[in-house]
Amino acid sequence: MKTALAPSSGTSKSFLGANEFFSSFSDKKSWEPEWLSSHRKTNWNLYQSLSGTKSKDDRWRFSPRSRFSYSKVSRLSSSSSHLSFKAVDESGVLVSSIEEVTRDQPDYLMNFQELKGPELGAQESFLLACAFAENGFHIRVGRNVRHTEPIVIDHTSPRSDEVAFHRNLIVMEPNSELILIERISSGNHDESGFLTNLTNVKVGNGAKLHRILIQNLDLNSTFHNLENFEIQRNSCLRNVSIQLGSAQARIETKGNLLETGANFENYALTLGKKDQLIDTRTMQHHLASNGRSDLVCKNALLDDSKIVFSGLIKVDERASFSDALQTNRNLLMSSDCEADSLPGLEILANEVKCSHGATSSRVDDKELFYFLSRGIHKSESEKLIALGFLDEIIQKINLADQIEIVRGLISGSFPKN
Amino acid sequence: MNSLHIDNLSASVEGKPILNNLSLDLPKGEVHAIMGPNGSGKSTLSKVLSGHPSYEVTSGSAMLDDKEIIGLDPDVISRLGLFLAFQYPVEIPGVSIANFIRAALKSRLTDEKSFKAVDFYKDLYGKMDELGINRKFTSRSLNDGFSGGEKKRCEILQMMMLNPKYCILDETDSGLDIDALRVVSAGVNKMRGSSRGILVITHYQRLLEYIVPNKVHVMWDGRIVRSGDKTLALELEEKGYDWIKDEIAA
Repeated sequence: MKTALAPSSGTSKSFLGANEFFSSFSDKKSWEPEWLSSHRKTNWNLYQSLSGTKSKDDRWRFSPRSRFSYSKVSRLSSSSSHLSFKAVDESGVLVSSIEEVTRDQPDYLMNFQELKGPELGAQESFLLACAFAENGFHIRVGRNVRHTEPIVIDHTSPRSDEVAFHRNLIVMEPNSELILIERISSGNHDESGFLTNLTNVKVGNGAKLHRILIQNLDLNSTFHNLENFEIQRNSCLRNVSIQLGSAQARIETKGNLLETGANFENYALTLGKKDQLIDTRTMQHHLASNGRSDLVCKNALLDDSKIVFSGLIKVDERASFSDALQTNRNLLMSSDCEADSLPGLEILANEVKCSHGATSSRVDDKELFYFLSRGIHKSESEKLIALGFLDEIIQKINLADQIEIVRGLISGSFPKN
Repeated sequence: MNSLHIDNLSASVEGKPILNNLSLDLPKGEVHAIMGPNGSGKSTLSKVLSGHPSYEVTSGSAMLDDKEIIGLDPDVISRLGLFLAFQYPVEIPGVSIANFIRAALKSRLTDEKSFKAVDFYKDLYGKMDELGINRKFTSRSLNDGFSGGEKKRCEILQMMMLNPKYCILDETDSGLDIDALRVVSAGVNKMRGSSRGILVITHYQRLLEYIVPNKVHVMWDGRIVRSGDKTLALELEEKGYDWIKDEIAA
């Protein structure tokens, strides 16, 4: 059952900035612990103090920022049905809702106050998520626990005039292992609103997290996805991001390689169609020695779609012997699509191995003729070429059933013969 | 008509004429070979017949049985029954051999027919075994990182799976060692029959020891200048092409 907080009249940037609105929201949350109320208030105040859209902000370069504006929605959805998963509390694994954790153990999540976002430009979304998140999941995997069965989390977008904020925390204790699948989709009934998803991940020493995020929202939805990963000594985080849906999506992913031997793999694909805008901003931040990071972002673009990729490899002075790669490849499959790439390196350490590269190309004529010469229709040929191009990322999912699902979703985006 | 009938075909690429009133008749049930020096237009002929968009046909026709194929799109020509084995097969990362061939077969399905995966793999594996292709190749990306010989075997595998009415083999023997040549030739010979015409383009007589043609044509300056039986290939091997040139000049 859905409920929604109605806006007051006289909104500023959006209804979310109105005093009356925040007051009524806070009243509704009076059961929450003091630290959380204070945390919400602090972030809401910071949101109010934002000076508005800067005319020139490199962190939004090439991106028509107005498409992401919260002024387009008029209600805050508080439906708990936007998040579903199978709760677990056994064998050292806890999977629970943030709300439930807060009710049962009011101070358990106090460190929420210290958690940062990726800080790659969408500060407004971060602050609003901190102020208004009502849904979210918390996963904790205990020391030395290897959970082999994938945990599946489903997020759904709210209605077309609503916004929902999800705030999630994943804690992998030392030497633990987990496979996590997050599915972001729309329901069947006009669920094409704004979904803002803020995730913090802590991967303890020697732990391994394999996370797969599959976003297939309605093509009228707006998606803000902010994720900040803290990767400790000799631990490994593989993040596979599949972006297929939404009218516009802003993806901010930051991997902080905090201690020696940290390993961060970030693999992303987008299939853009119609007038979609997928705006991806990443940072591989090496803060300690002997870290390894690998980013591959591949995008295939149809119709009038547009992608922006901005990725920075940052190596701090003390992060010697870092090994960092960043690759962005774009396949332009129509004359009207657009890809803007902003690869970047900021290296302060000696003795590092870093490389980055970005290319955009059209469908190869020889390749297409080869398909056609076998009788394969042009649209089917282009579909297979796109699937082939994206396959490098799809295979990183490394789960046969999910690979087939993703291939099916991509195939379904192409017109039938 | 039961032939691939080419009549006074002229074609150019980027304004440069390559084919010059070329005529040729390949009946079903026969294997013809086209030989000729570099630059005589052999590969252009194969591309033009396959509908390659870079080539402009300036005059003439090509009938596949009773259907004009000049002006048709490459995929349409293929589904009508013409197969081109490429001289340089294209590498397709991320698309497995099995998926590629399956897509080609599905494109030929009519509404009332369905695709049965079990039958497909049985057929595919059987033909791979015949061609000495490791079954593990089914999941490998098409031609990606293949040796020259593996690529050519894969071309013949596709030809066998698609079962076309007419086949054009464009220098299939290039890049093959002697063992691979035998295997590939055996695959082609198995395709011979009354329901199929095969056109073999080659530089060397060696291939024609394995795939014995009913007729040999010599191509020169974009047209067929001489035709004969298989002994013509031996004559070319012995004398080279200069004597043809002299004959034309005379």
